[in-house]
Amino acid sequence: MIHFNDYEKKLVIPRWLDYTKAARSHEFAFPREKPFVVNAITQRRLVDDFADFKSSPLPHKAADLMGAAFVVGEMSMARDLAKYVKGNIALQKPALALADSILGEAHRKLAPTDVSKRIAIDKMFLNEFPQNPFAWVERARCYTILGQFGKAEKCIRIAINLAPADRYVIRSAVRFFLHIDKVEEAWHYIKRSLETQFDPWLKATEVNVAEVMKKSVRKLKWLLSANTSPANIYQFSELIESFGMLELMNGNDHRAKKHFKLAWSNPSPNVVTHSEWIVREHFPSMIEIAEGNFGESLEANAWQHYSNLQIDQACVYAMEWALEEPYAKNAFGLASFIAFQRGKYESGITISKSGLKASPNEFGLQNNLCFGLLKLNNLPQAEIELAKMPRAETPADQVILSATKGLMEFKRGNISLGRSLYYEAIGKAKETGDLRLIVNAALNLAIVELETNSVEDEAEIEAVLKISEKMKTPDVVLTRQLLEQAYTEKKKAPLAFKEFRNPKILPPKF
Amino acid sequence: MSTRPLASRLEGKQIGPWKVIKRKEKAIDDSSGYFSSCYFVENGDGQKAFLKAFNYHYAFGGKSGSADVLKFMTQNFTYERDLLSLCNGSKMRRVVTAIDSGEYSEAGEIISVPYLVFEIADGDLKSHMAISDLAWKLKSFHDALLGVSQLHKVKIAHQDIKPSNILVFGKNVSKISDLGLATQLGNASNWETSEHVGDARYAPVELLYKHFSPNWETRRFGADLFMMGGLLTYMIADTHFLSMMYQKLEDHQRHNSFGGTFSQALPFLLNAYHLSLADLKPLIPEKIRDELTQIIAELSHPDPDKRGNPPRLLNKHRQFSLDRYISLTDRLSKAVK
Repeated sequence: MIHFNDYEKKLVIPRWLDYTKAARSHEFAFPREKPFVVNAITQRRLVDDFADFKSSPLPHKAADLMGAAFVVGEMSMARDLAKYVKGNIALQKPALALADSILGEAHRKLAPTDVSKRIAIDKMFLNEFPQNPFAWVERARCYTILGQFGKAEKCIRIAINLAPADRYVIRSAVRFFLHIDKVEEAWHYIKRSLETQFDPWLKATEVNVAEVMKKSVRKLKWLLSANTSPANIYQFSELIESFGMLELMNGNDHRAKKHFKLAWSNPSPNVVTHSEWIVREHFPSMIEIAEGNFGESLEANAWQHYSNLQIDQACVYAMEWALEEPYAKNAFGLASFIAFQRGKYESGITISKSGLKASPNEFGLQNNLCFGLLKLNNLPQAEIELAKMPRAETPADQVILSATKGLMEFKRGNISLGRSLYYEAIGKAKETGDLRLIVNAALNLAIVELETNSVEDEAEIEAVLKISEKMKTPDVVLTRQLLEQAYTEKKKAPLAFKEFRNPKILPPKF
Repeated sequence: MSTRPLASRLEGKQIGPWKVIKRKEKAIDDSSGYFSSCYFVENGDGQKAFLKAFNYHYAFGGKSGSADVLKFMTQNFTYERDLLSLCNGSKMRRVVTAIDSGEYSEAGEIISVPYLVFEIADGDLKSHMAISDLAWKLKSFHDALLGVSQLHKVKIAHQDIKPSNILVFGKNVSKISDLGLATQLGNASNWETSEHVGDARYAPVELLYKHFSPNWETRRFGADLFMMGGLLTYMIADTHFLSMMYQKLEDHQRHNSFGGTFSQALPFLLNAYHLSLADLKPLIPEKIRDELTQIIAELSHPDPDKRGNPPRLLNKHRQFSLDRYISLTDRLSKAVK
């Protein structure tokens, strides 16, 4: 049975993007309250120098003045000069590159997609500039993608020492420590970064780490100062969203909605992602307020398409999300789930393996890998992978583990044992009271019975189809479609059904 | 009486021993008034020179506070004249000093024109860039360092070091010019308010981000060092270090959009600084690459507390002393000849 945890309690945890990409978002902006005014001396000299250039134009004069105008934000003058400078062979590369950049014609150098190559480049850079905190963070990110957490941790600690209060460094560090389950470390560094400053982004991170640790946080009486400009709301959106989530968990739906509405009026990408989850799991009626922003988040797009059963688009977005955040286990979880639902087992296996690099002890991904291998009847490899399964910590994980073990027994030809393991899974699912889990286990059992030609009573298939009929969650709908498909095919060849025998183990009643 | 200020119409007039030959060309009419107008002049011995006429008329062009502006301008003129006189007296050979000064007035004109006369140069650094090799540029930079160092020795901070203020005399001598924004420790200029940025185009990055060290040397000598780093970068890359750094920043990180503190800006400024150095390095000939990059790195560090001579050398050199850079560039200019 495929592991799928889209309905876990979702917090507003920072993303961890490479610095160039992160800087492009306004997540690291500190908006000015008053506009910048170029002082009189500068203005006068700009005019003087531009006039001087016009009366006797020279490439080096143009290059100097272009850079100067660019620095003070006199972009019209900078563009005029950049046109003159552009492509002038008398000038050096940095001046030409600046001209291209001013004219919006610069090509951003893309980092190699191969993580090992990125590490090699980063190592060379850090050899030269060991004081650069962002390069250490990027190196840590690359090591994390490869699952080399020891090395990643060393890099992240160096970065923190170099920039102990920097928004990018600390949020990345928190994301890292949460990823490797060192929640106390995450808490320590986020608290320390807030000792000397108030920063809404770091404060939002603190609120969410506290929630992970089940610590209570003092509610801020003010979330927004008097300034409710869109730019300021953007800066505070994660914090507002986080407090909205706290209200929701405390059962204050009305207040929660109020916070969400405010945060979604100009949300950060992280808030967009969260808003999609809020709409899907709690307040579907708020979709109209939220959906306009979904384009800002690959994750939100993936989930939204998935919940609308637009599976192909969901898969594309999930894969892009996985590329952007290669340590995000849910990205790989969703992508592998979709691949399996489409019968693309090879792809699902590859995706699960990629996700396991950064999350080697991730129960769900390891389970999905076993599931895919079993579906391809690769029993020897499936057994190896099943042996690596981490402990099933939650009741839901225990349900899934029993079901996957059941699938293995079916594939081994131990039908009775397989069936009893599935019944065990259904029984455990019933204990959780989660109807979705129960139905998913039953659907999976029915599918494997059909696949292994071991159906003993067609009525049971019908019963599962009936009970799942009214459930609209995408995982149930999609698994049910698989069952319907398999059942229809079987019915076309009715002789394929074995003669009814009394089952040795009685199925649990729904 | 003409509506144009007297300082803008001195052509053909005799000012002391100086016959005003021609106004320094400007493409726009500056009759509305700037602080100063410049002219080419010649004396009876045939000595050609450059005259800077202060335009007090400017004070009356403003909407309010004319008396304050006039006072401000008068003080500026006196201050610059006195600094130049001090430089002359101290025999600063790499600083362009005034060869004459005075005040010109005419019958019927209410406002007189104070002026300074300077030796005439064969162009500025920008006009020599295309025709000069790296050895010449390093020699020119070395001369500029000498000039700034001479100023620093009498506690004068230049505050306006940029390519157009490096004047070239003959084939091989460069001097630092224009003390219009300079200030002296213990003898503060009008510009010496703690938050003075000067010409923001070349200003040290910390001042643009509103970080003003309480320590005068860090604030002012540190600024001069940053501008020297920018100058050296321009000689190599044809663009200033600050503009290279700014190209690496997103719009919202540049000082005109940024509303955070300098310490919040420092990590991304440091990143931009490192990336700029990495771009700069390959442009330098291999045999002097490491040393010259190191000089730029030390002079242009975005954190003024870490700018200048590195801590390991502070027992031999003061943080902002230029002596070490003078001898290094002297050696490097000879090495690339």
